[in-house]
Amino acid sequence: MLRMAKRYGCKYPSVFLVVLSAVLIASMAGYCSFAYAEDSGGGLEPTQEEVDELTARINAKPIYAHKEDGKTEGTIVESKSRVAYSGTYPTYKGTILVTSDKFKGLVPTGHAAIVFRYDTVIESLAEGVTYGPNDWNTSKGTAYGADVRGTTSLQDQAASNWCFNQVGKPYNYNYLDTATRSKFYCSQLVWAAFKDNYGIDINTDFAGAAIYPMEILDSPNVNVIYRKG
Amino acid sequence: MKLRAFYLILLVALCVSLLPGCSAFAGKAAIGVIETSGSDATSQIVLFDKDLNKVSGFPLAEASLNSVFYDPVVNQGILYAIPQGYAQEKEARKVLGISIQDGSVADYSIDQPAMNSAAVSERYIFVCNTLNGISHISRCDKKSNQVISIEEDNSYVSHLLAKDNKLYSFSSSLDGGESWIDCYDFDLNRIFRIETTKYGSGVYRSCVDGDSIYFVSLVSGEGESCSAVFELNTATGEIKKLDVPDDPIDVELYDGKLYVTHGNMVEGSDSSAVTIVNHEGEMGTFHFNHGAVQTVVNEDGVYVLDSRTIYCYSLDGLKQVGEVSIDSFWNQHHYISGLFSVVG
Repeated sequence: MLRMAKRYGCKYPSVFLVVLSAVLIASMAGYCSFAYAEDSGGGLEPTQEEVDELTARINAKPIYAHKEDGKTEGTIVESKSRVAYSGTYPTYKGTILVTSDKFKGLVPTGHAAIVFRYDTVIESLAEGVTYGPNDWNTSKGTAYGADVRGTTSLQDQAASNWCFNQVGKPYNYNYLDTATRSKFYCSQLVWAAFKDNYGIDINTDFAGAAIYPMEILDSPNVNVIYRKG
Repeated sequence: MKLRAFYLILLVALCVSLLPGCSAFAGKAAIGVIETSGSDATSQIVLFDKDLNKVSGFPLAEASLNSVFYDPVVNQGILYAIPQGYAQEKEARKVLGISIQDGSVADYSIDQPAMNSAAVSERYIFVCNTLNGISHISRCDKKSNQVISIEEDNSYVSHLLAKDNKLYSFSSSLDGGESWIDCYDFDLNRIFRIETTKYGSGVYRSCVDGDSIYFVSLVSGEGESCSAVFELNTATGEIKKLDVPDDPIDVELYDGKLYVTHGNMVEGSDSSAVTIVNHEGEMGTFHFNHGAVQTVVNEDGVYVLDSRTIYCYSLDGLKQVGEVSIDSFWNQHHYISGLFSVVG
């Protein structure tokens, strides 16, 4: 291989071979970890086709009004809307926010957060639970707001407080381990708030045991109250 | 041969003059915007002249650069903005100092994720963030890049302002039930704290006039939408309330008059207004058929940003004199995250 590299004009053939070897090893490691994830009973990362099908199902769902005080769900305001903006942007404490925006423009990971105050959201990031402005209406290419069915607004606020009380816990990089409460990733935090406090499961079987942010919106226990993009 | 040399020189001169960031173009700039994305590390600064003609643009390989909640700070010809990084990670830990003249960039490393507001003095950059229930206020020395930080427990610092060798932070408890203004010296030692709970929470914008700091709250002390501008007298600590129409989101000062913008940064809206308040407290409100998230006022006019459009109005009477829609040439979602006056 060294002679081939030299023959085809490679100036530093030994360096080239080291780099090539490193790339091959790295790609094999990636394949092995993905295979492990599949063997563990769930795909870690959905395909673009799967995400597109999921998104189409969610976008076909009706848009609901935010639940009134004392009620456990709102009424339908748009049976099937395809306009760029549908519904009212969420500002009520305990409302779930989800985006399907891609990580680095390529990886369809999506993200989830929960409204904590009119002007702030809390979200689980690698560094911990951050608190920042409620600017998803501007900063996200796609944004969805969701109410959990079967809880009142007061219960949703309590769920938001529960999320906040998990501050300080590290990020959960094992997306398949949703049983842990000692660490969280974004959508697991939101899911656990309603599962642990009210027994309501807003996960589906889209990503196996993992909770893919967008699949929360596909749950029969969730009403979409806002859609952008 | 001479003719060929002449044409070559002419061609080179033409190419140089068309380069983005050429000082000849930047010199005509009156206002600018920041365009960015949370999904892609592609941002740009776009400069416009007073008639909203694009004059220059500087690309930047950054993600989530600024937010409409925070006014980009211009200090001595340098635009200071915070890139948070990819929206799902917010991994960036720096503040950028971007020369408006030539687009050159200085990175100021501050080891805090998801920083929000920035304030700038001649020597320092101040930033804040809230992580795991604790707010951090950090100071970076522009020359030495040395950083010091303090912590404020159970607080959300939403806005910083540097004035007269003091740093003012506008904060609230995490549930919004209490709010206050802290005043620090530039070594981040607290000098005093003023309780502002009854004046509301969610302060993101302010302006300065002598001893006075004018600010607006997104949420009133009663938890409703706000309808007031507040004036803090920094010499006495006294706060006065000025009633204005609902939903003030921005307050700017020019030629002794306050320009108060009414709109909705959180939900967006199809309509907005600006109220002008003169020395005597007389005010007039002007309504627009478009939304507003941020306003800049300078000698050239009142510039109002709504989503991807800038509207220009005259200083008196707020008659519309121009508008420009900012097209994006990227395929990924990009948004306008800040509007600033070139003269800081």
